Amino acid sequence: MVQDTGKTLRADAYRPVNVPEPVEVEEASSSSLPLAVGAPRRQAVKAIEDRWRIDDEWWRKEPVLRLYYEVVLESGQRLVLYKDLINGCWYRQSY
Amino acid sequence: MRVLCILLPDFPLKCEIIRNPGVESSRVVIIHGTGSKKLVLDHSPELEGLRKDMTLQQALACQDRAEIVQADLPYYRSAFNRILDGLEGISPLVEGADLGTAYLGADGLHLIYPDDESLIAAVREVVPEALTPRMGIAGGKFPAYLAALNSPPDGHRIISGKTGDFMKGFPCDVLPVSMKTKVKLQGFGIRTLGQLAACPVGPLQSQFGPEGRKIQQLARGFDDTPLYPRKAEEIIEENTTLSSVTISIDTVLVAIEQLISRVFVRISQQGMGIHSLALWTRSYDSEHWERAIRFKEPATDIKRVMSRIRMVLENYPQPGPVEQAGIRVNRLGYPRGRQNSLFKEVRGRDHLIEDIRQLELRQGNPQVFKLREVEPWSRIPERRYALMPTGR
Repeated sequence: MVQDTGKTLRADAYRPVNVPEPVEVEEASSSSLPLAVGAPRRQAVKAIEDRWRIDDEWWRKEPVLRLYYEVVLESGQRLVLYKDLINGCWYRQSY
Repeated sequence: MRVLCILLPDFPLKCEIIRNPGVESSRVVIIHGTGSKKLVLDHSPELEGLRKDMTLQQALACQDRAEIVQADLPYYRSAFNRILDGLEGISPLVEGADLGTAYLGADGLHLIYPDDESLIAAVREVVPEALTPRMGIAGGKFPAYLAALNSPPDGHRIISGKTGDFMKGFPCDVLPVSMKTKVKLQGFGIRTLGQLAACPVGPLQSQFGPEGRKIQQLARGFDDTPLYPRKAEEIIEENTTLSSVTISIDTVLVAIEQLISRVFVRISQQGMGIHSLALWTRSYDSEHWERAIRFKEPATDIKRVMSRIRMVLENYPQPGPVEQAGIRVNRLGYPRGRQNSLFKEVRGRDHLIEDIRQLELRQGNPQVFKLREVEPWSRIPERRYALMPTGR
């Protein structure tokens, strides 16, 4: 039997899965399309395979407005990125 | 029996004003109820024609420009409980009869509070001034209630001597009896407590049964109803605000499972289980939903509790998209005895969970998680799955 160490248990440690990670993206000044991704080193975007938009929870104070891109980098790696249309930041996230 | 009655007029409204001072300048109607039946709980004083327990439809017919506020009963109850806690520092006999009405047994306090005035001064120190308490002292609960009702705002009234003389002018509507009895009294032309007190007990008993004798006694100022002090019991309250408003029962269940886990962390060391709990939610438009759940045997297993909660959530639909969920465990108990499962797989799982629990006790944080579907259909990827601690 292990003795109680008296440490506080964080039973509320509920962890969402697939949380978006902020990422540095160079975007085209005219079209806002991603040109290069800086994670972990800078790589140019070779192709944009797909693009879709999510408009959700528009009735809340913080609505969800995202523009997703599925891109292929010059190394051949595939990535799903999105631009948060509320704060203008870029994130990577598996979809 | 000397009783001090404390009336906190418009208690729900004042709680809302304390929480949000902007409410004071608005014309609000606080409503409560379940399903489609909404009743007025309280309202701003300038809204004329409204009264407690009238339906929302009737209220809107009188005051169509009033702002509707959904009652936050857990908040009012917790505010009222804090006041009762303070009153228990003055007298051990404190009854919280209704939200905003409290009775305090004043017998035997003369060594600490030599007169009624000093007792009232002590109560005023406990009750926040913003609640403008009205107080009354008399020889029973009912006369004390009438004394408080008759006192000036933020003042008090002490009834000594002939209580019947003080009460005779009150209408029969103040009697704590059913509406049917009040209508019947009116039908007999008995409109005041004085008229009722003058009636002989025989005819009253023949018309109203045992209640006839009771109402005559009350009208004469005799009330021997004892005070029912609060039970000293441990209440565990937990609540959480969901990361997003949801209509999915599964999402609500995940949130409630976390709350139940927290309760089990607190009670499982003592080998206790949950005997009864109240489950509540608050919807996006602030509507309150609440259900009581009781267990025949104290539940020591989170799975058993969650299966009952799921059943309740499925059978009693939510009034709207849920934003907040909470539980109030109001009765704990010790299980009579628990036999290990006959099946090897189940015993193995129990052992594994016990090992994980021991590991967490040593490390202090959840160490092993299980993947749970939350909203697998969601368009927002991070809402689809979540990791939940396993050792619960």
